[in-house]
Amino acid sequence: MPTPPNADHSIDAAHGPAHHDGSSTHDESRRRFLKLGGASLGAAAAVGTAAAGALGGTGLAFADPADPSRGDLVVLVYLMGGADGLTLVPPHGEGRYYDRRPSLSVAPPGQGGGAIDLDGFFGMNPALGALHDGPFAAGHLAVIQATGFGENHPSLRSHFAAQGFSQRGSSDPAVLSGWLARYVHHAGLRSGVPAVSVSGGRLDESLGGFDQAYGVSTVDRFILDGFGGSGAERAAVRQAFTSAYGGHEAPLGRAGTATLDAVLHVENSGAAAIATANGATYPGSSLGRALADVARLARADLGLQVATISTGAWDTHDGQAGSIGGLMTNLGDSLAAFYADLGPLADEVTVIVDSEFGRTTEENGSGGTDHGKAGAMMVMGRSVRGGVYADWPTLTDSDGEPDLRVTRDYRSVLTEVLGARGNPAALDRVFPGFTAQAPLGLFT
Amino acid sequence: MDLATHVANRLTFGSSPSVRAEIAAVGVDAWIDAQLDPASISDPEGDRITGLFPALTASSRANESQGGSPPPFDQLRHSLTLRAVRSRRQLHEVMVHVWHDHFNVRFVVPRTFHHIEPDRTVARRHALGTFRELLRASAHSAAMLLYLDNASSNANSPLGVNENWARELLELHTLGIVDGTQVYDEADVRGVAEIMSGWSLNDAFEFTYKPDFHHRGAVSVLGGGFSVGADSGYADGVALLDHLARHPSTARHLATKLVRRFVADDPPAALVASAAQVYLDNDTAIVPVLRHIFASSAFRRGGEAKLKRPFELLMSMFRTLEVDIPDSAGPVATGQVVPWVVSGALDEMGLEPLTWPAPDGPPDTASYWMGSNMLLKRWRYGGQLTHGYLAPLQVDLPSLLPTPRPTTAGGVIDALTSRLVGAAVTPDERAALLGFLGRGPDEPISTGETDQALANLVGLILALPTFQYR
Repeated sequence: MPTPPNADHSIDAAHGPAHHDGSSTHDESRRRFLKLGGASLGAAAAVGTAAAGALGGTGLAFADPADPSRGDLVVLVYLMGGADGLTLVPPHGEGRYYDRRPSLSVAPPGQGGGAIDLDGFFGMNPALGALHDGPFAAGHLAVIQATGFGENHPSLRSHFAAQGFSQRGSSDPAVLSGWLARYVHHAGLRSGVPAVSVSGGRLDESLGGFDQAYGVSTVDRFILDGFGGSGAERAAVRQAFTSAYGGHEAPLGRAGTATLDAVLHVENSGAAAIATANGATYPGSSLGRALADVARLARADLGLQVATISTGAWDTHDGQAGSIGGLMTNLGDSLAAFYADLGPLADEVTVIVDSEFGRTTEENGSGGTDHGKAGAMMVMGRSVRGGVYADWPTLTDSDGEPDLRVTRDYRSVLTEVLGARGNPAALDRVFPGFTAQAPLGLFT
Repeated sequence: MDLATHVANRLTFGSSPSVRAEIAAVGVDAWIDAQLDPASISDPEGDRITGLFPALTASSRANESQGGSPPPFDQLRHSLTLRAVRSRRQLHEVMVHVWHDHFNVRFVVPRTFHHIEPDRTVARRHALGTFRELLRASAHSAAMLLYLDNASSNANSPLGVNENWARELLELHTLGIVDGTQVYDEADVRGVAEIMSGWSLNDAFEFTYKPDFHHRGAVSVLGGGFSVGADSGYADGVALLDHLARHPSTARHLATKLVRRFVADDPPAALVASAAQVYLDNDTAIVPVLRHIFASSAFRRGGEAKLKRPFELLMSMFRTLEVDIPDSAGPVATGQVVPWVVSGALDEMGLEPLTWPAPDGPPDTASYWMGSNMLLKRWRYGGQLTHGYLAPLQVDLPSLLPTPRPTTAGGVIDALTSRLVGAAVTPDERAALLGFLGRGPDEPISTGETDQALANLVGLILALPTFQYR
């Protein structure tokens, strides 16, 4: 999957620094990207202030009542492969659904294996039962149907292009940074560890371009080890790393230096000793472990503001009935456990579930579905006004294709989330050139 | 860095004393010429490796029915490691991996042929042949037809064709989306799926053309660039693949990938354009394109950094340290030793070959591989190797230093970096290593002190920024 440069200086660049300038120092680079982004001196000063605050140890994990502008911790759970929104949130009230999905529909509520009714028209897949019984029943889960990329583009049905569009928040190939990278950068949220991807150690594309975003595989293994000897020798090893990477003027040098800083922050925070709370039980899956780690990092005093998790494999072209149930159970159980684990802290956490596209309304000849257009998103948090939100286009074809038409651009949903729960300072810089639809009223 | 070291870094799985000696013996150009003609290189070690793993030469059916110990997929993984470390046909082996990535196949629970067969009949057989034949081989492989569902795509079922393979055939295998430009549309995806419908498998998982699965009716794709009549059949699918292989957009797509592999993450446009023209002028032959790239000034000046991906990093450690990898009948027969240690390390660092989860294959750009935990694991692994934590892999650390030993801290560091990297490291890196030893370059260091520091020192050199690049 294509990813934009990590820790580069292109966050708003009309054209990314495909060639890094080997002669520039880190500070020069930062000034340069601010210039490219057209940021005012005021913005540059704000960045400096936030960084200074972090050094002073004021980084708070959650929104500070005395400083509401920090905003919630935003957690993006990204379903890789194109999740079938019509199976997650089946429109059991529309007869066409059962015509188009003779073998891949969810039965109406009340029948064996039937959907859990949400509003008389939409249901939730019974495999998401834990999500329904926990967050949805508590009124803290919003389901938004018929969401997707709202523009026409010839590459919309490519996984790799569409993942790029949705994670960068733009189809413009000149926009290299991720939408969350722009958010956290422009909000000036520079505490110890403001942004992580817990996706096997790599950085998700949505955070690409932010120089304080860290790819974490697990909190327990986010350490510098493998070397031997006395404590003094190990300290000398660490110092050698710091010198060698600090002196290396390239993206690798910056990534290495940032990593060494983050390791120290995480070590000092004691995050590895923080336990799951409130009796929550996560599935043993990588998604479950990743969400458990996000909760630990959030409880540690690291100033975490953004976390992303990518989880596959939702590309169900073949034998969908056999594969999607386990994916949904894992998703629902993991999110429900996270919600339970956070307890009252969920007041200051908003989770977004998104995917690159939905799937064709018709099933194919292999018992699966192909790449389509609109899918379903979810937003979870204790400030969410729970329910189903849909400007439902019905399952009539879209431009002659068996697709669900997009009636809500996912960027409108993301804009609403950041507007209501994020740091407002950055809002107009996250999706440049995009005009959001009127808010749905997802938040209380 | 001199040209010979640069060439060793880019065209092999890692610079080592032996490959640098090979290049020095015949000169860079003659060495590249030989690498482009692998049959001209005697490779007894490569032949011996083939002989160690029965699954590599057994029939698919035999592998499938035997299951066996070690499992055929483990035999393949083990052989890829040993070949990357020891084969003298290094460029051929590099290209095998390039094509595995290009035609990526991945199953959660692999059946044997999913990986053995494409290694044998697709990537390895055609690594330096023509792309036209390579594409045909992939399109006939059970692995690909199953992975991307064409085996079950039945145009005459009520629900019609499955578009999965057709989409990736256009986007990933041939025409591509190059710099955001796409020369085909949704109708082309469907049309290609229709023309290729019927390319399927029999009950023994062998290629078979099923006329009753094949779309009935005329189809025209790519703006009329390729059309078939209502009576189309298998031969029309072959012709379509050839048409795609020879398409200028395919040329640009492949040239971009190859230039990215060997020259720079952001491929110089002029070199991509000229390499694409060489590809078209030579009817999709791969060797002339590589020869063109390797002769270019963009390649030779070597200014652009290319980050080693996990397999390349690990193999380069093995090669330069001359790690002793047990491959006697015992460990190979149990299938445990090298696959287990090596697989675990690669998985931790981000990716083991043949396990990328999506059809696009792993990215060959630095940004993907610089996530924090990925860096920590890269750094950790060199230390673990030199400290002997990865038994049964063994490194003879004292042999890395010349006799008599250098007597100053700077002398020790220069000898080690020259031996391990084949070139000087940067002044900052040298200063960092001196800092680790806690002395100035001209201060003396005893043999005992050197021995005491050696495992950490060598581990650090393997973790330096310079060693992360190929």
